[in-house]
Amino acid sequence: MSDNGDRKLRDESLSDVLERIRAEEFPHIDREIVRELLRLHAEPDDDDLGRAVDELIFARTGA
Amino acid sequence: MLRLTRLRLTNFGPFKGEQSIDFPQEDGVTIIYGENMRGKTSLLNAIRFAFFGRILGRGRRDTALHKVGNWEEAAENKVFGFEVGLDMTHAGARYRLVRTFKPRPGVTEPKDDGDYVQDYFLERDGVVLSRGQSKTELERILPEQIARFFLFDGELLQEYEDLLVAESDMGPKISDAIERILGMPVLTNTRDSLTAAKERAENRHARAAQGDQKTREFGNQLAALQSERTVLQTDLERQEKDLDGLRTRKTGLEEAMRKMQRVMALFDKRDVLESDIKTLKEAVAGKKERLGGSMASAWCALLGDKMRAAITDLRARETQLQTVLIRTSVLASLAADGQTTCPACLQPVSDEARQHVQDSLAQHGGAAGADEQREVTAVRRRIAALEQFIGDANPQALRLEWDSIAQDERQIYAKGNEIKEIDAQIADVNEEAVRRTRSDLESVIKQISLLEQGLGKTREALHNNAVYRDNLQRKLDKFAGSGFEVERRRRDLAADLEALFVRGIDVFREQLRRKVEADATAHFLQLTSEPDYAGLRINDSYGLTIIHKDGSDIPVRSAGAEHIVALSLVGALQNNAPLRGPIIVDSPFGRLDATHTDKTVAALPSMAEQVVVLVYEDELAPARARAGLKGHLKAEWTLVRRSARHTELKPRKD
Amino acid sequence: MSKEKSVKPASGDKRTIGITRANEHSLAALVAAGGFGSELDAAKFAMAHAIEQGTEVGTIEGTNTKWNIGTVDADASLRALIESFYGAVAEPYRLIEYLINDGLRLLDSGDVPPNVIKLIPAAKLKRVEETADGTAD
Repeated sequence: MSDNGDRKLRDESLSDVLERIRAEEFPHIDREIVRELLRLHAEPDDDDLGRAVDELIFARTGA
Repeated sequence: MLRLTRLRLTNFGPFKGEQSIDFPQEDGVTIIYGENMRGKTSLLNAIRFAFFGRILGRGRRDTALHKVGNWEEAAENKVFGFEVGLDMTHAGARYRLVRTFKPRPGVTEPKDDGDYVQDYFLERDGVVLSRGQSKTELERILPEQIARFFLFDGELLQEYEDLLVAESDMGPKISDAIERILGMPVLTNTRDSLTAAKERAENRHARAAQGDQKTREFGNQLAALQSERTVLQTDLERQEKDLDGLRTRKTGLEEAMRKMQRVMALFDKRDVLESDIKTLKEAVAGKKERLGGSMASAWCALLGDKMRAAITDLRARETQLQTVLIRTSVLASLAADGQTTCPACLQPVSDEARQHVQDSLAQHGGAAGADEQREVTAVRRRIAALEQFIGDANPQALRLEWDSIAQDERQIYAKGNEIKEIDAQIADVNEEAVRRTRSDLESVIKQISLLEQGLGKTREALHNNAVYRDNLQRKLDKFAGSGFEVERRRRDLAADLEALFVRGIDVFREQLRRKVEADATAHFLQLTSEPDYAGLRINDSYGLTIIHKDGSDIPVRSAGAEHIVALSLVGALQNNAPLRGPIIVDSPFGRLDATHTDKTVAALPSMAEQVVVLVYEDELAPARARAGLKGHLKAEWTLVRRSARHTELKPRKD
Repeated sequence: MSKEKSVKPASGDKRTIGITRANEHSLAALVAAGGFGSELDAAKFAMAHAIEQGTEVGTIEGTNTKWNIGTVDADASLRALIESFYGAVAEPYRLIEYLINDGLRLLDSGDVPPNVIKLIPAAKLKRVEETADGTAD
């Protein structure tokens, strides 16, 4: 990995990393769902987590 | 990030009454000076207590809390228990945390922890939070598992250094803790969530297919495969857990075996010694028997000188007697009639002389020189006896035999002592236990092998399962039908999201490692005085190796070097954690020399925004600290002794 | 000059010799400490010690019967030895018995076993004059 690449990576936060991968490899996935997922999992232990994740997916795939 | 504002202590440890310390709100370092036993560790424990309701004693064990209350207050005023208050800011909010440890209602003379009750209150921006909210907030502000990276003392650094040794069992546990501090759990939790969501989508897809006559068969098969997958997954998890357990056990047994290797060697040595002693004893027995024979003539050796003197005398007497005997025989011939000349001297002999000799012979019974003859025989017999005895004596040979036996006996004694020493060392060791450990280890190794085979089979089965499901999935996909079309889309999205996060984890982890490595290296180079050190390299469990400037690893590190590597890692974690907080450290310089102390002092401000250091003056002289920190030094405090059990916190004014 | 004794013991001389009860402990200790093959060997050693220490002619009463003269001095060489040192005594075997017991008495030091090897003289490194034997070290 080049030095330049290193410096670029060094400054990337977690969401930056995910956004870059999304844009490069999974462009059909929208930005917002990734952000929502991160937000959901930042809180410790949500009982309804499974359902919340399913809802996120359902919203994008038609009911 | 978390920043402490004020610590309030009420009867905590040696801090009698109510005392507090304010922390500067600018970035920088606070130093608290106190001699050992004055309360430095108590301060650290007060913060631990405030956050987690626990304190640590020696060896990082929980310590009973009922002993923590100030003794003087208890003795003088019958005031028991204590309280710690902590004001802090985090993420823009002001928090006040108060945790108490008070005797139960009705208890006047509490004796142990059971007689007390602990409680705590958390306010955020002036509002008291509910119990549930308090718990969640505290957990978010400072999770207990990562507290070790914020609150630590010299002892922890030691433990930490041990953990940095790559293959220790604790390695994964601490790398988990490190990844937690670095924010990894969000990614891994999300990935796991998405895996579960994907499986749920697959189940729904199969059920939908079962609902349609055209696809029922496929749906059934798919549902069956999904059930199988769930079972296989459970099996896999169980097997992996068992394997983990077996591997831990194997490590433990190998450790025990290593210790026993030494013992087995001692056992062998002992056997050799016993055999030696047996041989020696047999030799001694033989020698003693021969000695018995030799000692028969030992008495001769005692009289050597006397015997030789006696022989001298006897020989003289013999000579005397022989002279007499010759003279007598001469005289006898003289006495015979008709002799007129002495046969010896050929002189004429007178008649009178001849008569005199005849009378003399008659007086003695006629036998000339009989007495002398008898005596000379006796003398010769005595000489012979004495010469024989002198010949028998051989004191040198006797001494040699004695010495040889004595030497053997000394060896027997020495080896006997060696055996005693060995016995003392192996006293605790049960030979039975040693054998059992060996067979246990062999058994565990076999079990691991079997389990690994089993795991291999399970993985293979899961793989096949996935292949079949995939085929079925593709077959199903050929069928149009809104019911499961939707489910298929959901499944695909979940799978893609899962893949996204899996990728994200790899990339982020690698990036984090590089970053931690770079930051740790930067700290390390600031702290070390060795010009040949180029930096640090990180491994999978966040262990750090020092790299020489020629590119090679430095394999063995001194205690001081380990100390500095640990500090470097802590600094790097602080720099990279989404969870930022103060570093409160007790005696970090204890094992460092002057040069490294200076470097560590200079590096402190870059390790965290708020740094609190507890030291004793010999460890770090105030002048040195001031020179090293300059403008970064924001406050100085001292722990002042009022009595053995009463310390006061005072700002340092000098 | 007294009459010479014949090889047979005089009518008054002892035919058996032994030790007193008091000396039994000393004899046992001497046998053990000296690694002697028999009590008789040890007894001779005690006798030699007494002679070497300058014990003069004497007698002792109350001895048991341990050894026959024939066993002790089959070829009368011991008698010859005694005569060499003490002259022609009337009862050489009574004297030998006395010397044995006196030697045992001298060697008796209570609980401490006698240091037998120390009593045996170390090798002489130089001999001033040669006498009958010229045995060097």
